[in-house]
Amino acid sequence: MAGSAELALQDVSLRFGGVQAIRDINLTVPPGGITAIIGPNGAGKTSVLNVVSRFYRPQEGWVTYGNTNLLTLRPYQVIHHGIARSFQNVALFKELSVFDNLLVGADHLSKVTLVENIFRLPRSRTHERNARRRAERVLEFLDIGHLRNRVAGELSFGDQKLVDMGRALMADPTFLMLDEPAAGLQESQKVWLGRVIPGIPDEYGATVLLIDHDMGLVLGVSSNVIVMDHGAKIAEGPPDEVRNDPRVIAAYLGQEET
Amino acid sequence: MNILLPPGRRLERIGIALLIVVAVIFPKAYGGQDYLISQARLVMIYGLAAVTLNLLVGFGGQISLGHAGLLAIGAYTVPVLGNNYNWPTWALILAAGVTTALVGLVLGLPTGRLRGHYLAITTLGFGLAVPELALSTRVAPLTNGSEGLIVPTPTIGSFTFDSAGHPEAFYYLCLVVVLLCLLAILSLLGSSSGRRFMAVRDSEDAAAAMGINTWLTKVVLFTTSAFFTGIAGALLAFQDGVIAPTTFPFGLSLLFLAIVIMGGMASVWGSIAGALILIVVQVEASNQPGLSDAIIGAVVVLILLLAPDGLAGLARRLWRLAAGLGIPWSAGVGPRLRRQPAAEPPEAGERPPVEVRHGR
Repeated sequence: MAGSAELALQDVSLRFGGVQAIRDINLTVPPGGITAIIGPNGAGKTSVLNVVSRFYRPQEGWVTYGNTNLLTLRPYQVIHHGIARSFQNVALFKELSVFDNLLVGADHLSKVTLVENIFRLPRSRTHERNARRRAERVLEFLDIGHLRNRVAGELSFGDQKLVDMGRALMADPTFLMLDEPAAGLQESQKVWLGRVIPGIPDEYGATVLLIDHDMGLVLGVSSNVIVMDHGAKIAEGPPDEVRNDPRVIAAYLGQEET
Repeated sequence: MNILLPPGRRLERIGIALLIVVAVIFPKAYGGQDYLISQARLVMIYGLAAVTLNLLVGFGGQISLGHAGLLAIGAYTVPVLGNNYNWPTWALILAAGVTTALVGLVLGLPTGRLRGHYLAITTLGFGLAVPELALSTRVAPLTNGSEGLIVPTPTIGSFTFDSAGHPEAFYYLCLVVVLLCLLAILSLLGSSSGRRFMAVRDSEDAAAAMGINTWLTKVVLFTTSAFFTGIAGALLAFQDGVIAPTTFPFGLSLLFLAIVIMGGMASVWGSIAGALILIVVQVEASNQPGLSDAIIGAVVVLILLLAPDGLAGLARRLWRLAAGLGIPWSAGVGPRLRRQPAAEPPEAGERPPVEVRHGR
């Protein structure tokens, strides 16, 4: 089942008053690989993520993941269908340690009750043990073991982005949405991240939907790229094809080069 | 004990051990001084009540100005059930917790959707309403109106924990009950339930994205806090011997809030230390009639000037200082002590106006 479902947005439109954030968009993210959404500022990339994770309700359209109609879910139910996300402007639990932030990512995987937790009954202990083991693996995977006891709110923006990504990985997702994971990272870290992200589908069995401004990273790791501009999809295809698409060059790549 | 405390929190462990040792030998050291023993019991009871408020305010990020109202529910449960049905003491304490938890649940269902000022006003209304309700003619047959109720003496088997006859025995009863409650609360806070409370406090959006039903989490927190507040209320009832609406003035809610802030947000032991200081100041200030409230206020202000993040924050800073000076066994300090440069904001102009919104 891991990473075997397809995410589909059909005729989705989202408006905030007079601002059209998403314009009648149709897109599918095939299971298994890494799909990226690129586009200039204000193109509506994060809005797509916020629609999928149910923070925004589109005025029109359908959003499905496999056979699940995501629009019937509340935000906290989305992850129970295997969809996890990181945030563009990191939303860590700032007063908690990095390790505890990661543990929260795995807490939805068990149905331990409050009373079981107070008395540390077997289910509570088992969950805690499994979550800790999983957190150790994530710390190692993202090379952030040295941050484990640090308070999340005191980390640099780049480190917070990595913890944010780690917390989403903790959720055992089949579909992982990464919103600008490379923002705030140093160049050397971006190169390193370019080697880490392609490992996610194999290591964690999750399909990845990636948004980032770093074109080198995006085009280097993705098998499929969707280009958005002014809330609409203007191109889609393999990285090499997209890179040479005149509409994309005009809307995005051209801007980057000037 | 290891399971209750994250590794490296040596300061907390040493503090807890010292506190328990002092609490256990206190009646031996001050045997015969009933007034002191009675004030020490009050430290424990107020301490527990402040910890339960800290659960809401410090660990849950919710504000409550009506905590004395919940305390009153727990306290009234004891004579109402004890005098009418002759329940054993342990059952009365538990029943006080359960009754207050039920009231907390009913209160939490709507307030779980409120934030900030709205929550403050709602809880304030509750705190003011409970003593008034106890006076009303409809409830007076149960609460005996303004005259209040005489609380049964706590007993276990044939032994009576008479606060006048056996002040030390009642002291140890309080100590055991309060310690059990604190252990349960610490155990809870160190588990996935505790992480949920704090996650909702720090970021509701991220908590929701991680599968946490934020409303339900707040309701559960309110109910849990109310349960332990009810137990504190039961102990207060046994301590006072008589309870009336005047036992639970609005000022008591503010007093608990002052203890929480003075002790430090999200610090269980800070709240206990806050209660200790407040009761000591109260005892000392009682020698200055007319000035006692002003003295208490001045002490709270002074402590917050010296330690803006409360006694717990002050303790952490002193510990860091000790570690910096290379004082032995101060190494292995908690994570908060190693303060790092704060997060850099994302570059200006990089974020489109539409996409920075994460609200619903």
